[in-house]
Amino acid sequence: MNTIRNIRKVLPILSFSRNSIARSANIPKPNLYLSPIQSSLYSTDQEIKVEIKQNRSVPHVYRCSVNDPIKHNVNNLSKFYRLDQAELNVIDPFQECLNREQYAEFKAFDETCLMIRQPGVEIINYLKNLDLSLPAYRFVLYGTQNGTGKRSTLLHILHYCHKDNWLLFHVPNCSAVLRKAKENQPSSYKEGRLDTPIDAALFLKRFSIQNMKLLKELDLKTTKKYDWSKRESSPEGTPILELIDYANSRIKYSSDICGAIVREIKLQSESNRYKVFVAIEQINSYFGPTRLKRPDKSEINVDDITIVRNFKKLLKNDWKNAAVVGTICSRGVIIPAPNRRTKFYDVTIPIANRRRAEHTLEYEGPLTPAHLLKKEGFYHLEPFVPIEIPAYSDLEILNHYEYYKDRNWLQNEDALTDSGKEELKFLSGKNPREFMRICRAI
Amino acid sequence: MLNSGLLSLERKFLSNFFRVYSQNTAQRPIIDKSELDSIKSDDLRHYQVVEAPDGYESNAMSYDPRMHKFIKILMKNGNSYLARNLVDKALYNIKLKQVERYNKTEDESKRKEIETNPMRIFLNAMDNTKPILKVIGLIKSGISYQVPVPMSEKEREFKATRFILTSSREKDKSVRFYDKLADELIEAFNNQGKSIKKKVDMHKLAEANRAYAHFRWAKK
Repeated sequence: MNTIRNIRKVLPILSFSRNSIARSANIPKPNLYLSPIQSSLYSTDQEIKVEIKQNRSVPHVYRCSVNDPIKHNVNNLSKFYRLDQAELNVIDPFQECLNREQYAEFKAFDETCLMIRQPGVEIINYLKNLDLSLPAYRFVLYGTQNGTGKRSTLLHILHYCHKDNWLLFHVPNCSAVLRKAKENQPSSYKEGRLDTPIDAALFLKRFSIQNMKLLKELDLKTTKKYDWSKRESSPEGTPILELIDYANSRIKYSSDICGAIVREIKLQSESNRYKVFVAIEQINSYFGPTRLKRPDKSEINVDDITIVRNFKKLLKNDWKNAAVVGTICSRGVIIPAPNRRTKFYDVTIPIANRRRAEHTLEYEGPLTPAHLLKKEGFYHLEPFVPIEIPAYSDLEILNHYEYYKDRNWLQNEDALTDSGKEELKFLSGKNPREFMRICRAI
Repeated sequence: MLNSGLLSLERKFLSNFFRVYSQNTAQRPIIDKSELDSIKSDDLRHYQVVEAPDGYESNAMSYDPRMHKFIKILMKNGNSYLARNLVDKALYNIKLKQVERYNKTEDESKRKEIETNPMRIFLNAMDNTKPILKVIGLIKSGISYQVPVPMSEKEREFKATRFILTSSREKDKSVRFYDKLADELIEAFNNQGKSIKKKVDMHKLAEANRAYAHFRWAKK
């Protein structure tokens, strides 16, 4: 009985202390991003009630009025915002950021719209509050299933960085070089290495288009004399834009020039004049096997390909004023297999041709960083922030459905009914890519 | 290869052997969902024998019986997965073209004139290419005549699919099949193109042999 009495004495004190914490609301809001559930914990009761009222009175909204990615925050989540076509031509000039079908849809809809999703806003909030004097920050995007929108969130972040005057270092589809380079030849700089001149020239062209405005402002110059061969060299103090022009005329040296630019940018970032954003897709392909071979048909390591060797240096954290975002996935990547007979998985080869190519099977393992990056890649990138990109939530798939309806994309009369909506939701399993695939022929 | 051939043979025999329903009493199942909902509780069909639906029949929104028949005629070597894919891509291509036109026009009165439903375009194109008359050979007193006769509904449907498929296969070989099929369907929807021309040629032949039409009733 005594214990019960004691508890009764203590209980009101406890409840009072809890209320006082909630009511005081003097808890400082941390600078970092908060999920909607977390933020609701911090806000007082009155604010939540107001939000619910607004949701009920206003009709369903799937479009965001804020088209500037710098101003995006938690309130704009799971809505579509419009990209300017002129800006998109600068950010991805060769239309490599997204799926081919997605660009076809943009053309049919007569506008380019992307969904603002939680991981994208999360990283943008991180980038706003970074302390750039510390070593480079690294984020890895992954999804437990394929097709959940890793590349489209990366495009959202790239758009933000373009607006915020970051120096973009964008490598989309980096594993294409390892699978089938358009041309390869032995390196003139060092024996045993392999050059991929056309792919390197394409990267330089993309790099110059994305950063033309910023490079002209900065006017970066080389700090060293570079020898391309016995006769040809570029002296100290040549501007970087001139180097890129030189690569256009002499494509043979373009992969070495890539290395020179990487070195210069890393060295001169200590001057605090600019900040660099590195975005590399399919990062796990840099730690796996290749299909490329030397002219004498001997197998080659990934590190002996000049472009890959140079881009890998950007992933390290021995420099500052930089942030790195990479995606990992199994599609379009050669993944090493544990079995002796099947050396590696490669899904990119179509089913009809599989019996002709050796060692091709579909990868069915988990898609987490530990499994895809393997030990080597994990230690190369550590410490990094893994960020999962989930499939659509109920609200997000509803918004996508409403957007399609607005653009007159859903034509079947059954699809416009409520039961049709449920059917689409069920068939797609809330996977964005699967949802788009099903809606194509309907 | 051997296996598949044997299996198909087996299936042919077994399907006749194990047929449970007699043709006179059993009813075909209703597949359309809206039709199912409209049946009342005192309907006689509740108390009759109904066949089980076939494996391919469903009330999903992508299923259409006429479209299903079209796909089966397109199919080669039993690869129905490929045939289905080709038709889906063709419908997707049609939708891309028409929706782009729809979204770019700003006048609402002009917008309504554009047909954007690929299924409706497909069905209308099929209706437009359906011939009415055909010509059969008939030998009478040592002379062969070409006699115009009307066709059954099933045969008309089959002829229309043949016209559309052959005329899209005849086109340039460097272009993908689903692109050609999409172009052909849109042309047939507007009463133009090769497949419509084939239908007109067939009618002309029947028109030219109009004088022998009464041989249809003559004995051989």
